[in-house]
Amino acid sequence: MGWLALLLVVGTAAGQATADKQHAFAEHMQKAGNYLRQKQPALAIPELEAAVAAEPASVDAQGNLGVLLFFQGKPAEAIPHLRAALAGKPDLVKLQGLLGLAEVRTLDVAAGRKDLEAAFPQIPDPKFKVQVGLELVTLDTQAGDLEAATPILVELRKSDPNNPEVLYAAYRTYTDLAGESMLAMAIHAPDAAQMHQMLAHEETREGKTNDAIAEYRKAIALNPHLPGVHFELAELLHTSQDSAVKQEAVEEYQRAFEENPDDATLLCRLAEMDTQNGNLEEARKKYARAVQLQPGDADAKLGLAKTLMDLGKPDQALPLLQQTVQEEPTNAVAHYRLGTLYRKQGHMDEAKREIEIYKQLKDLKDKLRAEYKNLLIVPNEIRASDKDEK
Amino acid sequence: MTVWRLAGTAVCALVLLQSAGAAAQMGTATPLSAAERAKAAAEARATGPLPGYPQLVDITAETGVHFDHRSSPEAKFIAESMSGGVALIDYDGDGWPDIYFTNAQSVEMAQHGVKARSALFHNNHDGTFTDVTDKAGVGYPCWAMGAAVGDYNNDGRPDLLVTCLNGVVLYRNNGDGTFTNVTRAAGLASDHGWATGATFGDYDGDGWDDLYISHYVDFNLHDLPAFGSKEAKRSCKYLGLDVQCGPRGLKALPDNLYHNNGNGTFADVSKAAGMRDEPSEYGLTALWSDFDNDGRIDLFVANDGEANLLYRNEGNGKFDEEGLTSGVAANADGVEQANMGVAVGDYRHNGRMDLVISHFDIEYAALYDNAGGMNFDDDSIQSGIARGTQGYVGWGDAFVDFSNDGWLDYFLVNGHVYPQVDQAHTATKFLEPKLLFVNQRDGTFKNVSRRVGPALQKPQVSRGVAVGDLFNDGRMEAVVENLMGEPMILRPEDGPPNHWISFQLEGVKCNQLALNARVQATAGDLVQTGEVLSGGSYLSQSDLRIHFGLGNHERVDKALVLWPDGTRETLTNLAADRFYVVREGLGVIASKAAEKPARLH
Repeated sequence: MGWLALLLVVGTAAGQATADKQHAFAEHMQKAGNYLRQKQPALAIPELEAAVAAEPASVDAQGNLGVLLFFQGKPAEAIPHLRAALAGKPDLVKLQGLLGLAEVRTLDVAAGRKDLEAAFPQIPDPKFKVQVGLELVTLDTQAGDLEAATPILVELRKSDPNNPEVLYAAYRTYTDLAGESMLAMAIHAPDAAQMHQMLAHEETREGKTNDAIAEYRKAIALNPHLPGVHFELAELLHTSQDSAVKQEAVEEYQRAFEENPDDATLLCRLAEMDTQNGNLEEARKKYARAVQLQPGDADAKLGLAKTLMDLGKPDQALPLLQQTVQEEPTNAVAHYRLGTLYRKQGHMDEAKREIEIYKQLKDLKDKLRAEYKNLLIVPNEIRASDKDEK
Repeated sequence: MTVWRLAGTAVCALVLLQSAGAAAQMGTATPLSAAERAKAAAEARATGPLPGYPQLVDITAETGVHFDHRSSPEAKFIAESMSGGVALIDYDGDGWPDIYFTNAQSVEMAQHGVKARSALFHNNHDGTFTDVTDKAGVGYPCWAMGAAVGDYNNDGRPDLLVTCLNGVVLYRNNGDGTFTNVTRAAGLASDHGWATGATFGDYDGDGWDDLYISHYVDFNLHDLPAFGSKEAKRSCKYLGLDVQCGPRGLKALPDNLYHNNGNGTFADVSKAAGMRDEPSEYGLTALWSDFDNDGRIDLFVANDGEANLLYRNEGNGKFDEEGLTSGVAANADGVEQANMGVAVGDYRHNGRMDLVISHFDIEYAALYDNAGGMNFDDDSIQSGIARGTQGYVGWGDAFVDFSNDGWLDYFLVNGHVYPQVDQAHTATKFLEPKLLFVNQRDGTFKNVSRRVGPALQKPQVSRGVAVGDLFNDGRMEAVVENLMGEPMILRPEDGPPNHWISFQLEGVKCNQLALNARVQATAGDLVQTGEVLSGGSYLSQSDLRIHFGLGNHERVDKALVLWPDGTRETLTNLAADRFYVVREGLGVIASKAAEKPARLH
């Protein structure tokens, strides 16, 4: 469990004691060490207790004893030893984290939170950092202070981005936060345009496109200048196969553009529509403007590159595709397009390299798709059973 | 609340997948631009005869061909939707193409031991055909999917390979109007999976036709995927309707390459030759052709909903799979499509074999222009093929010159997979029309489907199509096999009096059917290349003779024959409107003029 390492890390400072005491202390510590190497912590504990009795100021003995007691399921007994060790050497952040956990276990939440918060930013070991961080998130959640949990989750996701425990905690916290915000909105501003915009989001998440569109229209009726509302409505309308609805989408995109002419995402969408209408030069201008506004926007660069290829300017497209795959290495389409371009230019090694990357990304997406497909069936089944119950 | 959260998760997941270009149940949505849709609508609205182009007339009734392809009206299982290949085979060597229709059972029929009768129709030379199935002994090969023609024992007589739901059946042509099932003796009995498109070709140049067989899904009649199943990993829903499951969610089977041992047997050399077996794909169509013009035949394999494969022949009995690097595995954005039928031809007159692949309705037929050196460009949209084919589930297809103007047009037959689609009240229907695209001679095609007579507009559930000069009068007919009911035979009538020429090639040192031999015919400014192809389209076999329309040219100045063994032979000053039999090393050994059957217009 990694705590043997901690035992070694704990300082070796010995108190000033008599020679006999020193001898007894050293003997107990040696025996404790032997038991630990033999993985017999239960036998090491009495030796450490004897060592502490002989030398109460020993950080080494106190710390090791506190750790062992904690992992023996005796947090209350561990606490005084952990505190004693920290009193002798306050920068032992792992011990402080453990102390915080012990205090929480013994329902001394205030002290536990204080120690956990002090230790959390400094813990170098990602695994223990996750344990401490998630304990803090749990405390915040129990206290109803979800906002306090978010900076901890942000840090956890930086230090251990793929940890499922962290990802689930983040999902739960942000979902609950969204639920809270929605409830607050419903209580405090039920007639606000934002309330309808929010409901539109929820309808979209539920797959109820028509209901979502209706909510967006209500929001616009209340406040036509609501940030983002025209673009969001346009995006929904754009998914329709009905040409009249698609035309409506175009009008909403235009309104969004009037509201915010320097939105790179919007410019890309308009450029895409220009491309679909055969206005390649106009599309090129819009994509170029989007790239200018958001130089790191891979979609904008890819769109510009594709347009340039359609305009018969592969040489201008090449550096854009090269930048796109550097900035967004997981963009499979960009790798494929770049591979195609290399192939046409006779750079076969480069082409093969890009195609190989594309293939790896595609395989990964196929795997994800299969997993998501299994997930997708769940809500329908639950909804069906809910309906039956009603 | 929990329900709401899970639903949200699922929607987010869906959005992620959409952004990743997720594949649909069959096919992947590839929307066309508004401009392309507008052009498509304009072409679709255009009516009235097309100047300089014949009408395609349904002459099935006059031919005496009566054939009923058995099918379950509900098509509750994928095996009930995929069959219907047709082969043109001059089995009696009289110089007139005969027709073999494959037939398939339904699951219920199979469970009750009821067989479906495939049928061989002999060409009577007068515009009619006679059912000779029983005498020929080819009526009940299996739950048949399609057929390919080759000469496995190199005796000069075309043999017939039938692909089945449970393997293949090889019929040896006995030369007396009968066939013998030699599957086991030939070593092909071990091929027991769902076989689809097959193709013969001599890949190692030893003079014997080798064989490649595509396989589709692992379909077990004793463990049927439940119709409309909600099981997540299976694809059994379409537009919210319960439909047959698959192919996604069903196990794919590997394809097989068989080397002809030269003694009447084949050996499975798939692994030794470098054929891919992991992961397996949903193979539907395979075709040999020399795509890089290096003198060795390569292999193209179309896979349903997965990457196409292009095996480059390395010349040492091994192949290198270059589908992705050559640009034919997926579309321009790397999206794999529901690849079904394959047409091969030199539609641009540059001496390179191009490809058109038919697809599912939310996609479009994809045209891959052969740019040389194993490089292909996806020109589907630029060529105009995409806009006319989206919205249809395409199957058999062919490059064919119905008007004899010297330029290959593109012909495609359609029909949906799910009969239930009619209940969805959308524009998509189970029965669909056929499509014809005229070559504009500039790399583009024009959809003239509504301008060549009413026959193409008759909605059917078509599958296989084979093209050939059925009546030896210089016109190319199309024989369409439908999933349900009677086939359709289309004949070009009242077209311009364009000239033409036809070559029947006979190998001596190379394989006797001269599979993959080419003819490059020069007539004035027209320089065309044709190839003898085994298999292709969808589960079908077209006429092995090479036919060229010549427009107003009354002769071919030069015909360069490229035999598969690398030898070249030049023929000069050949009169048009004649059939030429060319034997390797001997030049023209026979020729005859067209004979217009009395019973035809």
